[in-house]
Amino acid sequence: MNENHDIIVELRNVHKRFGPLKVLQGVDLKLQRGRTTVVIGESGTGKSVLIKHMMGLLRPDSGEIYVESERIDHLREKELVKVRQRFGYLFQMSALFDSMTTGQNIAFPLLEHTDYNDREIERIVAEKLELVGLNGSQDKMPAELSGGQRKRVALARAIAMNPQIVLYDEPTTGLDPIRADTINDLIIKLKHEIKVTSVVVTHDMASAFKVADRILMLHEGKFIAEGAAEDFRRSTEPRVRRFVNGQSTPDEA
Amino acid sequence: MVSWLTNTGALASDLIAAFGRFWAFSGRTLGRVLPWMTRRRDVQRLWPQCHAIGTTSLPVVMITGFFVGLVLAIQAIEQLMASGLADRMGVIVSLSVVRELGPVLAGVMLAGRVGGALTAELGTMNVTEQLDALRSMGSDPIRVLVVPRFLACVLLTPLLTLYCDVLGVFGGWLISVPVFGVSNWAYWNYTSNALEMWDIFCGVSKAVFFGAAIGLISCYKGFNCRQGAEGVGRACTEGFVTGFISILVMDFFITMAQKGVYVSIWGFKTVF
Repeated sequence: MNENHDIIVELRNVHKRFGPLKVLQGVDLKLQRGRTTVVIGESGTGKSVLIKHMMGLLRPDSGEIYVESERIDHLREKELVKVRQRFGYLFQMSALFDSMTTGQNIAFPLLEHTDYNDREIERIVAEKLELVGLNGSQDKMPAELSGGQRKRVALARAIAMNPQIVLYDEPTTGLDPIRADTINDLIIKLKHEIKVTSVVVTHDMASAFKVADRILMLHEGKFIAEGAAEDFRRSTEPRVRRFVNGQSTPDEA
Repeated sequence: MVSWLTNTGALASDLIAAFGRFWAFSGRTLGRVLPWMTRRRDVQRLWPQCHAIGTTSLPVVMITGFFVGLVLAIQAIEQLMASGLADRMGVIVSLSVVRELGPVLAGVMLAGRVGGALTAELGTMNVTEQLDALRSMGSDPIRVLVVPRFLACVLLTPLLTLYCDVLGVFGGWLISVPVFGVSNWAYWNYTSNALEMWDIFCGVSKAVFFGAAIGLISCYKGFNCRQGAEGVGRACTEGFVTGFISILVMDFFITMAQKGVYVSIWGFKTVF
């Protein structure tokens, strides 16, 4: 099979700035179908900005973005609806709708984009909650859930429409190590059970090493390193070493 | 001098840009109203908003109308009694309340109560990425969040204004008839003679515009607030102040237009 047939998302020379701040400075990236790509980098280096470009939540100042070989960076909001249905997005702060129950949150995309009746929607909601290990919590409000439970509900909502690609924005941030590991296990489980392509943005190296098929490091708007988890463990590149080992420079102290 | 000019120019440019963004937002909202009406699941989102915006605002709007009627009557009654015109008390109260004070004060109360709540709700959704979550699921936040709130404001501000009017006229009656001994028959008779359907139409039509302004301004401010609690708080304040001023400015221009239409059709009439 031609290698390009396995590329599900591609970014070509993407630049993005917010006012004077240059966030992305010529990013090239190809995501392979069915694999988990982890993007690491310091806070504020543009990791979240990068994945928001993949589904058109942000538009590049220049460069091109392709999803399944279809260029999407110039599409209008209405035209992006179909593209976005291929994605699930787990937000850093979960972004659950406060005024809705857990079940209503997960049912939301189904009500928006399908003609399923109430019984079918209830079945899908129960199935997704079971997948994330929260059976029977349909009627709870987001405020009643712990941080880890909120992330899992948000993940259930992100996969409600059976997306091909799931984007995880700092999935383990703010969680204790055990809850963080539960999320890591879920990312791996989804990859195997529903064959999703995943992009995980994180600065949690334990999480990155556990879930990644491939890791990329973003620094000052460009990728400076790429490889498997083992390559990053053994890397001699000073910036990679400092990040992986969590060492600050005297300038940063 | 140069820096003053630069700062003033930048401020003016920002204001014009913000004004343009507001009208673009309003245009997108209005453009989505008709398609919105064709989807049952979208229309179902209107009822909770009608409850939040209308039902829960009813007591405060009725209290406002009632006390305005009381105060109007207290201010005017002695002057009218001294002139032998106390029987016409209902004319003063009803025309003031129905044409002007009812819609304006109901609008101002709703700008504070409903506008503030809408800005805070949507602003919080904005800073907690809930608006991005909607977009990420292929949904349009304007269709899902703004259109039902906008329509609830447009539909219910006139209704609430009518309640405000009724309580205002009743408040005037309470001071005039039981307290100052004005004839009950005279109060209602002169009121019904002076008050025309046109007056009620004028008050209610103003309320439609005030409701539209409250809905659009508060949703726009919520969608465009800055990050953090301070950003949401500032957006609420700006939303209320802008809504309040818009109501007063719109009131002036709508009243001018209504007067012009009335005089050109029916000519000038005295109320006494």
